[in-house]
Amino acid sequence: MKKHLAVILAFALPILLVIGIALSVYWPSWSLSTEYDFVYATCGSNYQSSYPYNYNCADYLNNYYQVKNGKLTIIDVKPLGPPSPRESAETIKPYVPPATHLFRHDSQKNEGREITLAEAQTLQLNELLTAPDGVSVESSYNRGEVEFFPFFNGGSSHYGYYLTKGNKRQELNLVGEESDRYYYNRDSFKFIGWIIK
Amino acid sequence: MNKEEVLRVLAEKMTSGEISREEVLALSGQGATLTEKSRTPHFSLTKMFYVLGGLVVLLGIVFFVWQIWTDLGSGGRIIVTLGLGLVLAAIGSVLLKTKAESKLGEVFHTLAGLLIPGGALVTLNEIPVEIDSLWPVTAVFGVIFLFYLLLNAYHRREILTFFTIANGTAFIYLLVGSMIDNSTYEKFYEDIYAYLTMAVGLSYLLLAHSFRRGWNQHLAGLFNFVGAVGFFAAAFTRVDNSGWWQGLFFILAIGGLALAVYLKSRGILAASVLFLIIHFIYITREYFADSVGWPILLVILGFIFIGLGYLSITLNRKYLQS
Repeated sequence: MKKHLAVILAFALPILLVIGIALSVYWPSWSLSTEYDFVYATCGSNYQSSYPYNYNCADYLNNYYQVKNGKLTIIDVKPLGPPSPRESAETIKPYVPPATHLFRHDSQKNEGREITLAEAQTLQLNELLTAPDGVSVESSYNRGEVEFFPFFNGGSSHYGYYLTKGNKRQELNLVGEESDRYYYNRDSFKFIGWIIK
Repeated sequence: MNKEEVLRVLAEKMTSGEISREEVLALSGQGATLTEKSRTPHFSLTKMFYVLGGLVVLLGIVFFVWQIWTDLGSGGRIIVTLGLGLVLAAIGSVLLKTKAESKLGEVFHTLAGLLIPGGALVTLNEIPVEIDSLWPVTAVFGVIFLFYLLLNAYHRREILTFFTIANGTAFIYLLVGSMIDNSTYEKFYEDIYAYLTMAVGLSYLLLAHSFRRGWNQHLAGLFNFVGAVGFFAAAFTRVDNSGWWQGLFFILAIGGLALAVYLKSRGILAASVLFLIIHFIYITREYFADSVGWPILLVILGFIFIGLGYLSITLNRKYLQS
C-alpha cells in the first residue's frame, strides 16, 4: 500500500475533483423538485398548413389559450388576413386552424400525458411562471454542435425547457420535444399554468 | 533454488522483457543513486534509425490517407485509421513478446498509439449517428484509456504507460467538459479547467515520483516537467486581479524549487524558475511600471533574471548533480 501511495494519490486527485464537479453539476438537478404539476400546450404537426393565414405557433397558442380567474379558456383566433394578390392560386387554401395539444406534466415523474380541453378546464390554474414553492419554468438554448475539429461539424442546436430555482436546473421531458424543439420551432410550447391542488 | 538457477531465471526474464536491466540495478541498490542525468537515455544509432523510420512511416501514412481520403467510403476510412492502428498495436505486442530487446515492438506501438485515438474519432464520425454532445467522444477516450491500461498491465512498457496517461488525461478533460456542457456551471469553465489542470499536474508529479526506480524511469523527467508546467500555468491563470493568488504564486514557485531539490528534478527546477520569472514580470508590470518608468523597470527585471538564473544554476550544481 505504502509502495503504491504515489500512484494511488495520482489517480485519486483528478477522480476526486471530477466527483466534486459531478456532484456540483448534477446534485442541484437531482435535488430540485416541486409538488406542483403544470399544463402546457403545443402545436400539432399541421400548424403550418394554414399558410398564408397562419400565425406562428407561439402567437397562435398565446391568443388561443388564456387563463382567466384560474380557469383555462379558449378564444377563437381569426386568420391574420387575406392572402397577398401576388400569391399563386395553389397557395390560396381555405383557412384551417392549427391543431393543438394540451398536456399535464407530472413534475415528480418528469413526464407528461395529453389531456382533453374539458379535463384541462376542470383544473384550478396559476398562470404565473413561478409555482407557489418558487420553482419556475424557463427555456434555455442548448448548443447541440460538438466542436472537435476536424470531426463532428454541425449538429442540432435546440431550445430546452427547464424547471429552475436559483442555481438549480432540471431539464423537462416534454412530449413531442424531438420534433418541436429545434431552433425554428422552438416556440411550439406554451406554458399555461401551474395546477393548484 | 541455487545461485545458477536464480541467474538462469533472471536471464530468461530479462530476455523476454519481463524484467528490465534498470529494475535489476535498482534491486541491487545501484539504481537508487541514479540521478535524472544518468537516467537520460543515451544516444544510440539504432534508436535514431527507429525514430527516423517511425516518423517516415507515419508521414507516409498521413500523406497516403490524405490523397485517397475523399475516394474512400466510411468503411475504408475506418480501416486506414483505426484498423491500421489496431493492426500495428497487435504486431507491436507480438514483437514485444518475441523480440523484446530489439525495441521494434515499441516502434510499432508508438505508431499505433498515434493512429488509434484519431481512428476512433474517425469511426465515431463515420457511423450514421448524430453526435450532439461530447459524451460519445468521452466514452471513446475512456475505452482507449482502458485498452492501454490493460495492454500496459500485460506488457509493462514505457511507451504504453505514456499512451495510457495521455489518453487518460484526454478522458478526464472530456469527462469534465461533457458534465459542464450546457449546465449552469458552463460560465465557470475557465475556473474548472484551471483547477483540473492543477490536479492533473500534481498527478503527473506523483506518477513521476513513482516512476523513479521502476521500469518507467525514463518517463520520470518528462512527467516532472510537464506536470510542473501544467500546474504552474494553471495556477498563473488565477493570479490576474487576485492579491491572494499573487502572494500564493510566489510560495508555490518557491515550493517548486524546494521540490526540485528534494526530488533532484531538473524538469521541476526549469518550470519553477520559468514561472517565477513570468510572475516577477507580471508583478513588476502591474505595480511598478507607472511609478518607476520602463527603463528602470527593465534594469530591475534584468537583475531579477540574473539572480534567478544564478539560483537555478547553483541549485542544479549543488543539489541536483550531487
